[in-house]
Amino acid sequence: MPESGIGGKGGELINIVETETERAYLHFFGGTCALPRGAMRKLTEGLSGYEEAYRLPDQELNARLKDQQAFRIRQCKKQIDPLQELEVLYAKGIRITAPGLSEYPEKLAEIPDRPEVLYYRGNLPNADRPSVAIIGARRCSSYGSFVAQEFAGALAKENIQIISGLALGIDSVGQKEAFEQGGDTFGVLGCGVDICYPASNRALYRQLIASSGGVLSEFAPGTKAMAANFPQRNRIISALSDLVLVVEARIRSGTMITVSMALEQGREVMAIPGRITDPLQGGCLYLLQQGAGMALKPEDVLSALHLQCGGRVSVKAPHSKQSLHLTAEEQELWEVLDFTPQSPEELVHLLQAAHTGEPWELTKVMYHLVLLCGKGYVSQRGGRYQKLKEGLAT
Amino acid sequence: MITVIHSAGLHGLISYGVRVEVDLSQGLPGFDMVGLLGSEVREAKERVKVAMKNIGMPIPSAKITVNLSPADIRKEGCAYDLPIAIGLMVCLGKVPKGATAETLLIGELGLNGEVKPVRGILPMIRKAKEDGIRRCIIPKANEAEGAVVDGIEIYGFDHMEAVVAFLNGKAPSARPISVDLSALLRKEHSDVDDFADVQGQEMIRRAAIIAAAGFHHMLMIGPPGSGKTMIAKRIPSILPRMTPKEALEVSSVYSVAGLIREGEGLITQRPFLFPHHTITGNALVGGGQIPKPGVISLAHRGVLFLDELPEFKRPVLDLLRQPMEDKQVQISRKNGTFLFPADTLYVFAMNPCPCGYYPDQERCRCSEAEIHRYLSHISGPILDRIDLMCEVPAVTLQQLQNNERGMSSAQMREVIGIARKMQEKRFCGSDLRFNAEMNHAQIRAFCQMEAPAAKLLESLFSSMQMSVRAYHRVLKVARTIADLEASEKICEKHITEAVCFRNAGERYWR
Repeated sequence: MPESGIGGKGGELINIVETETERAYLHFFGGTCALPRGAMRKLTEGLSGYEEAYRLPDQELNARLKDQQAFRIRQCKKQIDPLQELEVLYAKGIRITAPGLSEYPEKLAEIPDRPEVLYYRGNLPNADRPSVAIIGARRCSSYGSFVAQEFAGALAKENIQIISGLALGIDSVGQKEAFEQGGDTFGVLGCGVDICYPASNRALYRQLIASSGGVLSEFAPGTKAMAANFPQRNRIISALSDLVLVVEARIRSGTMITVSMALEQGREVMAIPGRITDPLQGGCLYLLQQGAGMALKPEDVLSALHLQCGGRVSVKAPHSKQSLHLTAEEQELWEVLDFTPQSPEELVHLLQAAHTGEPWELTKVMYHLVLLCGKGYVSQRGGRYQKLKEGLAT
Repeated sequence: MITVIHSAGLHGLISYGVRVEVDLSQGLPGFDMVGLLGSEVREAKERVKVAMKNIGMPIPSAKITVNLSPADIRKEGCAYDLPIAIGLMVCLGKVPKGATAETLLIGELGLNGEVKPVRGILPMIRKAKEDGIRRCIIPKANEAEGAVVDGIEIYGFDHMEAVVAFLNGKAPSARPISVDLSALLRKEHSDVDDFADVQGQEMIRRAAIIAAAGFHHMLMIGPPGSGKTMIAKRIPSILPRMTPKEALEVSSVYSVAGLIREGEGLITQRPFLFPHHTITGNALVGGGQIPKPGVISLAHRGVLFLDELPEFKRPVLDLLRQPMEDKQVQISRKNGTFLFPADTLYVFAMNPCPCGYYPDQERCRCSEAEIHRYLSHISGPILDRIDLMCEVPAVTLQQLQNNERGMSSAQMREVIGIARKMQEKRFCGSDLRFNAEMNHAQIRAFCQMEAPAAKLLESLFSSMQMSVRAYHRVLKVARTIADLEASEKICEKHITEAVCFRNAGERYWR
């Protein structure tokens, strides 16, 4: 029995001949025939690579694989020319790699259930640079998206690669900010790399491909986003990062799956604290209680990575008070506003409880809310309003 | 010998005069009816024959020809039974010839000679008055409805014998019916729910006031049990009373639909309709081979409440686009185009997601895609036509246990009254009644803003990426809000409030 493929550079896979034909056969087995990881390993056991596997006699194929898989391969062999398929793949701007090939990320090769084939558009993370995964709830609060932005922006400026899942909410907010700060950011997808899921992230998806970042996936191009794919994808997110930063997550959530995978893979996990009453903070607070690092400012993440800021960029803690330009009345309103959305009606009640002076009316509250929205201090979510930033009046 | 009797036909809501020409002559016995008749009109022949026999005035064997003129318009309905029978009696000399001059006859006959009610009496009589008819003989069951039109004598009879006696001058006790229109309109309706029952919900109460004052369409979004239906049902109670002209318009629609109850002449209360979401397109906007008014026309000058808006079929909802804008429905069929009024206040209500609890993170278990699919049942053009949107928060136990009653409908009507007076003054001499009806030119003329307000709206227009339609809607709502304070000019706070109500839906659809 040859040793299992753990250890990346070790084992039999170092023998893979790095040629375009090898990639063509890799795509044939991993993409066209869509063999699962285990089958891919069994297939190449003791062989020099996928080209040799392609030439295996039917009998040998049957011995190595399940009947159904072997049948599928024979069917595909009849209909498809692997070399032509690779051309089609390249024409779509999709690249392919596997453990043992030079561009395959080292960090990924370390994990026991590493993907045997990896598709990507744009680039793959650079192994020499630190990378941090910023992950969290899809349906996040404005507090969450604000924090994700602050951290992603600051870390990107420090030349740290931001890894995430390109999902709605925390994922895309962080990646977007990292991209806008000129950083490299990589999206790990739960579908084929030629599909943008969710479709509303189309703009970000295109930007990543065109930038020095990229999108990657172990699923063959054309694979639809299926729920079962996402926990699979999450292990790649954690594997590619040195540190996983959880911004906002419920106790039972996809984010927490990523965290447990990160811990299995021996990655550092940090979380951002929040209120104990907020269900969206449940995951983070649980992690902190279990001993995860507490990230209060981007420097905390840097020091966990044993990095210094280098004095190039001053990383400001997000909760440091900024000065806002508020009138006296706005200040009164500001004090009862929160990071969770509140309706003007609720605000009136809070104001009436807090102030004995001139009574606040609905109309007056709405007037100031819309003005604060115009200033960019407050955002409207449906009929409710919430603070966008923390600050003090000047 | 030819006899001509005046009667009336209906084309949608429009009535036209019909001359019932009856000829009785020597020849091969027979009964022919001509004049592009529907089958129910043709069947009148049998009803008339039997009814006349049963009141002891059998038709002798002769050649009878009945023509309903104008002969090129298709006639429908049973209203011609009575005029045909009376025409025959004139020919037979049972009724004096001059007795039917300047007299309109309408009514369906039973085989025993009973005169039964017909639909569309109100528009028919209004038309008859225009045509110079002096008196109308109509079914007893319809007399209250007919009496609403003044300046014309209305006589109601429930049996053909009584009609014959009257035309022969043998019923000295018969007096024309009349009603006091303004007294009818002043009548208090005790069966209407009062807003005082609604606890809390200040935002939505405010939205309801604005909606009622300016006739702005509104949408309420909220979890189940937050009181959306309760609020919608109370909106008619705060709308201004109907004017006599409005009452006549509404009653005409109901008359044509055959929905005026016996003894109830005029619809004096603003209609409130509440169709279930399984409603078909035809039932909603009107339709059928011979189009009848749909729910939106029955809610004319009143409130149409569509609950569970995303549950309506999207093609059905999209039918509302044109009537919401034009305030009338045009239905074309092979025998003509029918116009039904639909100046309706649309009140919509919906849950924010299939389970109903979004954005409550604790309770809502819908995925983003499910929510998106749910919300996408409502198309952009419909959303664009809604001026006021508001979220209805769930009622807390505290609010329920608090026995403090909210503002009553009467108090709210008082506030709305201020805005109504402002609008009456503003639109004096034009057809407009409510701010929501203003067109672009009128918005420019009537929505004068103070300088800071204009500047504010300008900056909001660009920062909120408003469409031109959104801009105009904000202005119209701001106008109503200013009217509520009797302010001639629109100030900043009026603009911000209008923007607040407009934007409440943004989170869901953007």
